[in-house]
Amino acid sequence: MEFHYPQTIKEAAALLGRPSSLAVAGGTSFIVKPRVEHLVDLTRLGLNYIREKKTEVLIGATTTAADISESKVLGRLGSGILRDASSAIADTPLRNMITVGGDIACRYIWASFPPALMVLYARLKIAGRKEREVPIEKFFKLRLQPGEFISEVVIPQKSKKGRGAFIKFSRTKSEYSLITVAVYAERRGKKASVVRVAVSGNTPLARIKAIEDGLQGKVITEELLERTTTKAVAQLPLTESYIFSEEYRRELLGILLKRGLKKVLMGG
Amino acid sequence: MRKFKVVGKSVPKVDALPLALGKPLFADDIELRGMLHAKILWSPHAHARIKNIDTRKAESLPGVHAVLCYKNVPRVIHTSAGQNWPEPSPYDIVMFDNKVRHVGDRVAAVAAETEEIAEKALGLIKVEYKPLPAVFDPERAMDKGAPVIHDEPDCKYLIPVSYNPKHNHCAHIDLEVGDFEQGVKEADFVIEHKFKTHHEQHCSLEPHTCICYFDPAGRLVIRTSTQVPFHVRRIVAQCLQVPERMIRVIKPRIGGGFGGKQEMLVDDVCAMLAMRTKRPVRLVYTRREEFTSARVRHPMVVWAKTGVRKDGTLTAIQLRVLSNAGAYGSHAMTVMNNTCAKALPLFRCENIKWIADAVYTNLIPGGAYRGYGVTQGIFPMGVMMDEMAETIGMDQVDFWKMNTIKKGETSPIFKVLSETGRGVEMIVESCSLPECIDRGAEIFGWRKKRERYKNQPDGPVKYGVGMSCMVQGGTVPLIDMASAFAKMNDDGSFNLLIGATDLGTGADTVLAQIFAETLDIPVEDVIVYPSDTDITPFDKGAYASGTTYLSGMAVLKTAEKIKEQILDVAAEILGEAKKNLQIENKAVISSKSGKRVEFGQIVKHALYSKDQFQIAAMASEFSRLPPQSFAAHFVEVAVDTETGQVKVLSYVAAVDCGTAVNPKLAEGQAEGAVLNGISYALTEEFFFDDKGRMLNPSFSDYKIFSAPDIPKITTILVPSYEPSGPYGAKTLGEVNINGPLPAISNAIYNAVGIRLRDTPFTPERVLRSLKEKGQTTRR
Amino acid sequence: MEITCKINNVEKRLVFEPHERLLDALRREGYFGVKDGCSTGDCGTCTVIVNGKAIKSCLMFAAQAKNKEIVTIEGIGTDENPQPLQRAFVETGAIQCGFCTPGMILSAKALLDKNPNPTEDEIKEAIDGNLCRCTGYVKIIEAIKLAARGRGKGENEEI
Repeated sequence: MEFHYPQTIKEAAALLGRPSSLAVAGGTSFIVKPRVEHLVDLTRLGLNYIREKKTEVLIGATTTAADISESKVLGRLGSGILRDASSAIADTPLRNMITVGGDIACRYIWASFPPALMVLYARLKIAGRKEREVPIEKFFKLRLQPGEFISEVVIPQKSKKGRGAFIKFSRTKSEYSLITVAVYAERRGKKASVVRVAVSGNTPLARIKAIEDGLQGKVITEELLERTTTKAVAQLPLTESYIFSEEYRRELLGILLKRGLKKVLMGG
Repeated sequence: MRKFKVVGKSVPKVDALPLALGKPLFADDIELRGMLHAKILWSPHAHARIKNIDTRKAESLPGVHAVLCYKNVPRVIHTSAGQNWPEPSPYDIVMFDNKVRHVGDRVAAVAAETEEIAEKALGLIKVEYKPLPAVFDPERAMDKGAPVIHDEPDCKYLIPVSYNPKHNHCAHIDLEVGDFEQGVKEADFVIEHKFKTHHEQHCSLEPHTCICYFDPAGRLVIRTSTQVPFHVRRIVAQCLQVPERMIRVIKPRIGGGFGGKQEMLVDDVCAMLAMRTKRPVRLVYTRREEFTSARVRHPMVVWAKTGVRKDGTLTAIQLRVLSNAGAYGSHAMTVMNNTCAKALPLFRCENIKWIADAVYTNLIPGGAYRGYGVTQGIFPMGVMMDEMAETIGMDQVDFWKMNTIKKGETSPIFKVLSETGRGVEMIVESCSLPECIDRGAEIFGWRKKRERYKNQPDGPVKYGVGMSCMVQGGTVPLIDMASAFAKMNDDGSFNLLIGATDLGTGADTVLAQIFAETLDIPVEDVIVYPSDTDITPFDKGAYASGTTYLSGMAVLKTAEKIKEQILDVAAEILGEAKKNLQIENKAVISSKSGKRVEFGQIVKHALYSKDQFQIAAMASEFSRLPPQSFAAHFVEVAVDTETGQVKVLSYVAAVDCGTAVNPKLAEGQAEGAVLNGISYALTEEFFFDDKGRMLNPSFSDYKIFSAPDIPKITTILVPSYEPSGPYGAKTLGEVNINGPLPAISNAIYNAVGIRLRDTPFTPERVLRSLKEKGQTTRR
Repeated sequence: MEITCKINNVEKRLVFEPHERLLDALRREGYFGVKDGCSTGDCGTCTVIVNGKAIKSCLMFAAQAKNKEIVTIEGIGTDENPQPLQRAFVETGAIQCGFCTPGMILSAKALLDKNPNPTEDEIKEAIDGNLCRCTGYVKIIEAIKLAARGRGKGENEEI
């Protein structure tokens, strides 16, 4: 096995393009010995940054969860939902190691960043033979080609307008998330003008159109929230779990969605 | 209150600074030349016969030095329980058997040049299993036709107790004092409920670690993370069929035990591999193996029935106990016994009936775990007490005070039953439980909070408070023994060699304090050498909450013997009668002439000048009776009635440990035990699939608390004075872990009106109970 | 393979297999204060400080330490002159078995180096990755507060 330290994105892409190669950022997903011939360190490419531009905020892929948790810039988007998502990850030393790019690329169902980024309209810049940009939803429907890796997360500034809420359900504070709820919304008067909802943890990562459509443009009441979330949750495919029953997790998901929506739409 | 010079002071632990500096003090912190690494092959089946094992491919893998299995080790039936001989646990385990009895049971072991090679070799061992039907439910284990887990002809107890392995019946004891049925007749209210407690893992941060090597004389040295070095020596000698004198057990600093290391768990395999390979061998459990192949708290089902009169008198108590021993019976009978022997004396009741059974199942074997049966007995009693108080309309504080044993009283249980069977009649000579209850309630704000929570705020979160008292007798009476040896050095300092086993508890420090107090010297003058079977005299080891009390008395007596020798020499030096002399501040002073001679002078005189001899002494102490430590716990909880989550907001533990030899260390014991109990009550859980395999063998999935999870914990030490203990000290290690289960259950009841009698109190369990009661806010 | 890095302010050459963890390389070099309690990044007994941040060495490849600055428990304080956190841990009774202590102190040090006046919640968060089964964390939090106040004086310290 060989360990490589590319200095440029081009170099990294070339190394990852070889067979039997894996990217290493924080490295926290390698609990068992990796069965590959090449490990490629992505943390020396200068991809650790949070940059505010006029219409977007750019987060380098190897920016750590710890840095994201403390970013003033990110605190302004969706009332800081990314900071909340980031602070909910594991524990302090792990947040110093876990990177936003790694968290997305590993596709763990308990990951915090994907649902939060989904509701913030995030796009991913993918480096490789040919650089491309994809909305984060699309990323989870495609496979990365050999040589490709996430190099940047792009979040439009328009998410400054609304409020976000992130809820992680677990038995202890540092446990990985058993149920994750991310909500972003904008109001016009008493009506919801924008509603974006994403869940994961006990269900495959997805936006819940049923809730978004059910609330968009409507006057928000507790009763409407209750009705909409209960109906939507009944349709969701839940994962298996030995910790809690499906019945309980379905009900809990509904409650957490209601709480998140109430927070962003009713100031509660 | 008596005032002492060194006892009662929070002197820093003698090993604290080296530990803070990260010195290499633990079992695995050495590297020996030519050391081999051992790995064990575990059974994937809950119950199976091994029809054949083929180890040839594994043996011929380059780098492999030995492979062990049932074919090439002597079959020596024994118990792995670290207890006094003859052990009160069944002899039902052998180093490697041709049968496996739980997922994670031993099948074979390999010693190789690296861990990687050893793992690879495990994969090359071919095992032919014949799976057998398995039984996991203790309530089904004794059914007719249930699979017989211990069908080997040689399993047995050494002591005469009820043992019926053909029916998976591992232990049975029953007793009655007074007349239970009569007590029921005399009651105004009779309450009856079923309670269940669950598996728990010790989660010592340091896993089981053993390194075996040979000294220049060819003796086997076992450097192991253990609570019971002397028992380990004896049992390993037994298993290896070598004389005990061939073995030395060294106990380095230990990274936690909590009962999990009161066991000869890995040392026999490690030692056998060392013997076969003639090389040092290192065996360290992975965290996964800690969960699948170590020991656990015995889960129990307890049917409790109690009777109470309107005036608050407890007229009858009956506990029917069913303990799940798992695949092997180590500690099964003794833990079961303590649900009565060390738990029920807390209560003032003349009519007590207790029927207990322990059964084998094809699950991870139970072992010693802090609390040792008292936890499983106090939980049902603590909740029953709460319900009885409510039923007769008495405040819990008053009800507990009325019905718990007082100083000067006795319990009919004492003379009938102890941990190992034989009872010892005794009177409670020290007990500050009433003050614990009062002070705890006051500092907690019991009455104020009870009042406040009569009106709950709007919203899904409800609040409540609960309490429980608890007890834990220290030592196993008439069985446990400890000794100490001390010698005096040129400069007036002392080497104190103690068999006692400090596993982070601070025993070395506390014993040094007791020694220093007796000779009126500073603690710095005492150099403690801990637990080495070649050098220190016998001590049973760290269990049964006996170190401060029993090892402490041995140390005190040793110091007194030394004192006599010092006074003898001083008398000679000063030419005065010994009766005029006393010890003061590292010197001897004559009350007659005022003359003073320093310890340093005295010892030099003894070593060098005249009638030379070494000032030294040894003393042993065996336990005549088990003094009880008491505590009263108060807890405040918030229950989210939509999610079912329970959060502990604050916790007050008022503790009676007699004299607290080292108050900070005593508080530390209380705080650790309390938090352990809280996570046991709320988040710790073993999940098994239908084939008996544990599904969550890691810290990621078996949850204990980290710092952000903790409530506000307040510890109050309420002193009493135990005349049979060193400077009035009793015991402290275990008692506080018995509080959280009942106190939290009672607090949940106070908050939302549901009584949880099945542990742990998970969010789903809480929500389900709320729905059954019709208490949720959702339609 | 081989890398250079700084360990406790001393330039070091580490030799290891590419797949090996920083934990393995450090213990092999004799830094026994770094412990292997779980191998899954949960318990924190493997915590060391890398470039000023607390990280879990059981989940970091040794190779990732190239040109970085590592601090282990062996690098802070001495018998004669313990570091304030070490003094405070000793004084408050925050050390029972001591197995979690090196990792705990390093996490606390990483906190205090950045935030010398942390609140209790910030302290709890800084050590949220370090499990302790002995103490209930109560005296550990007390010790970190004491060290932050700069009053970690031992009972036997000379005046």
